[in-house]
Amino acid sequence: MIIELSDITKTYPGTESPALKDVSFEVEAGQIVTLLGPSGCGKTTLLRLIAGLERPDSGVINIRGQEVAAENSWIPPEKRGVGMVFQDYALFPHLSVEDNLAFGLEDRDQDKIMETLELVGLADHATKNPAELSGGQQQRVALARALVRDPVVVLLDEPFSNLDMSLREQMRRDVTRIIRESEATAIFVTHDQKEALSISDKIILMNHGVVEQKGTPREIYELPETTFVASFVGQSNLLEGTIGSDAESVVTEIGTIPCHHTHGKQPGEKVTISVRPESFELDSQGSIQGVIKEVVYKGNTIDAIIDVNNTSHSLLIHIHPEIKAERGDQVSVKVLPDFVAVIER
Amino acid sequence: MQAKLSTFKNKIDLFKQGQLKWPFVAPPFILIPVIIIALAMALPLLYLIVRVWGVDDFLSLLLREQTITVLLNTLALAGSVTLSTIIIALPLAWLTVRTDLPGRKIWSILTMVPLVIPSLVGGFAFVSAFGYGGIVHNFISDVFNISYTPRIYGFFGAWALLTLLCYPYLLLSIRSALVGMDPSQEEAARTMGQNSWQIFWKVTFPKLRPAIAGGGLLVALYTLSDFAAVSLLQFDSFTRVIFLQYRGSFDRTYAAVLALILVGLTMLIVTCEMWTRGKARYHSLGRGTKRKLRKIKLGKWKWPALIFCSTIVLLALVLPVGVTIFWLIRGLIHGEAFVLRWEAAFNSFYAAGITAIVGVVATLPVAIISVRYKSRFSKLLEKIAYAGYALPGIVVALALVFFGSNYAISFYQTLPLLIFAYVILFLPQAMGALRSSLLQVGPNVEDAGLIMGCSRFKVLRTVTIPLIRPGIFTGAALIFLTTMKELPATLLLSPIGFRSLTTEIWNATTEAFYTRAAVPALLLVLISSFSLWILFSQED
Repeated sequence: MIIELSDITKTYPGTESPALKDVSFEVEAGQIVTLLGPSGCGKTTLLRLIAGLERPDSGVINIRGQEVAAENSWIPPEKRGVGMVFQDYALFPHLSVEDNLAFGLEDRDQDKIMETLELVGLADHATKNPAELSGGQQQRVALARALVRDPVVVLLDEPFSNLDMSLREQMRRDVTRIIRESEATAIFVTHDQKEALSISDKIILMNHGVVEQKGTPREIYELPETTFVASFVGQSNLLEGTIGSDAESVVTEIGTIPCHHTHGKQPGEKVTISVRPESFELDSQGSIQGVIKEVVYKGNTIDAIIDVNNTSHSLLIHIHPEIKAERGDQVSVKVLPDFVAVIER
Repeated sequence: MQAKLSTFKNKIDLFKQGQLKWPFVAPPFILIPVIIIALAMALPLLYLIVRVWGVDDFLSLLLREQTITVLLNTLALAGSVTLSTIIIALPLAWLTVRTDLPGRKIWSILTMVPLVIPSLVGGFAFVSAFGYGGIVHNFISDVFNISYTPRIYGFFGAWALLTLLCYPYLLLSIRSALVGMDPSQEEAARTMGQNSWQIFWKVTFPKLRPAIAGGGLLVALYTLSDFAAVSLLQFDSFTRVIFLQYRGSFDRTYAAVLALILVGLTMLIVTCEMWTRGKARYHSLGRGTKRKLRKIKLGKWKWPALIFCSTIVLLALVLPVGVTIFWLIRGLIHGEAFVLRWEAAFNSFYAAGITAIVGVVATLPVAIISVRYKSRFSKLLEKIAYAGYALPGIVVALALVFFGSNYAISFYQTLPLLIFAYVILFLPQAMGALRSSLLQVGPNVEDAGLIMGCSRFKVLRTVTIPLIRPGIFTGAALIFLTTMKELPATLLLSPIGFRSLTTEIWNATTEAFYTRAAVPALLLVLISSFSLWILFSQED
């Protein structure tokens, strides 16, 4: 483990509820980890704690096996060897691009500086002032500045939120490629679930200062463990039911739904399940019958809301866009078992 | 003692290893200087209190007949000057903002320009025009051979001079409120059948009240702390009596008592002023689309309005500048070679230069703590550091005279003590410039420096200071220029034989050698024009 946080709690002076409460997680070398959550969930505080810009009230932070923050030890930010890319990039406006990179180097190593600038594709701009560069270029300077000292970890605080929509996708790919190429470990902070799913090896989903769920993007999306996760990442149908006698299905009002992830719950136990809209497939043999109430054409998919026959339930399902679905159509759908998750809270 | 020292060292080691938390948000190299500066700023006031505390007959001193007279004099002067400046500034503001007055733009500049006349120069011009040996006195006694006694001294002269010197402060505040006012309410009133006169009193005036109150309090503060004008016109308000008491008698405790009462008055006014400042902003900012204000047609009132404007400009601007130039030319004609003592100019530059450097170095940590490390403790320190804003120069000077002659005899009547007084008085001048330039530097830029492996001190040196350089220069320039204009502290604290531009004017005026004051007076006007130019260009 290159970074380990255990039981981190932090309350800002003058506030009642803690910004972070008993937060623990680990980061492995070479991983890209994302701290995801709505604004005010404590993710930026967590990043600043790792950087050493804030000090936790309790809990221990280890970087590369060394205790950097604990009850009786403290390594200040300048001695932690981390790199950080700020939301507003925080480039030094009075220094040229190369001097920005050189700022943190003990002895100015021009080869290293140029090598890093080449990595981000800005070698031609080394002598320019940050103000002469575009937003995307400034972003890459900030990244190069964070990477030039070969940091233990690069911390990125909402790095793409200041960019235009059109540029954002491109920068997201570039930045992750650069981080992978330089074999660095990175922690991103974002509130954009699509961004988190597309760039991370591991997502740590936070809400109100606590960790809701940790896991790979696939685990987070397909198997949400809490109602918050199910609704914050993508869309979801939440249904009440009981575990079936085979322990591989859940009996609900709309029928028996196959489910492989029951968290070892016993048959007969009451549970809530989350079924993603993609888990439904139109199938004439499908066990659930209903009438299409609303259709929203989205290009890559069709969002349809179905009133299930003989119940008061409505389901959100995704339909492949080549199928012509219209309001009032009678449809049958089936459920793919791997996309159904039992929710614990 | 040895044991205590070693536990202290132990603690520092623990602190370095991070086993002991530094209990404050601000790092020690910021916090410790701020505490020292706050203590230094509080020194004059604390010393005055200590000095008066032990006195047995404190009550009888306080209730002396003279105290009551001086208090009433001062209050009467402050009240009447405030009132008369309102009477002048309100119509001026309205005429230059809201009406079709011919040459409106030029008038709005000309009526503001008297801001550049320091009260010392105004006093010199007034006395050398109308006082003993002045232009009018000489003319009447030489040409008509009549013995004539000038009647400008006392209340009337002080009131007239201070009104002409102070009204621009009020004009400034009323003008900005008028310019920022949303016209839709007045238009609504018009659709309800009200005429211009009714609209002004019922709609416009009530909205101007906070601006009038704020500007009026500034005028009152100026009047209370002014030394030169009241002294040259020989009116017994606090500042003059304190000075005479200190100069003329050995009863310096009484001077301290008077100084404390004066501080109480100014503190009261500063508190009121800060309280209204927030309100004035709330009232003057109209949100939403801003339309052009319709100009009110003056019609037959055009001529009285023009006469009013030109009278004010004539008295407040043309007169003092004209009188100064008259004495300059007269000096040149009479072949007075030494119209300016270069030594005085050099001394002023030298002392002001050192004060600017020391002042900015002292302001920087205070500004940093107030912008970056906000807490209740830091707010208190910041407030103490602002004390100079409320302390009249004569009070600080007097307190330091006592302190120097009793406890720091080797510093008494030396340049360092004089500069110390200047710094206490003018530190708030640099705060605004430094604060606003610090606010423009994102805190992330400093954090980025830390994360890149530099200590907080190195970040301050290599990131923060280079980025706020413009603010540092502005702050230093403002301190420099204000120091050049300072009189009472210079009179009381300067080393023996030290002459400055202001003491030259003071001595020349009190001894009626008016030609000698002309060049220093013109220099001071230039200097204060420059400092106002800096202040205004900073606001844009």
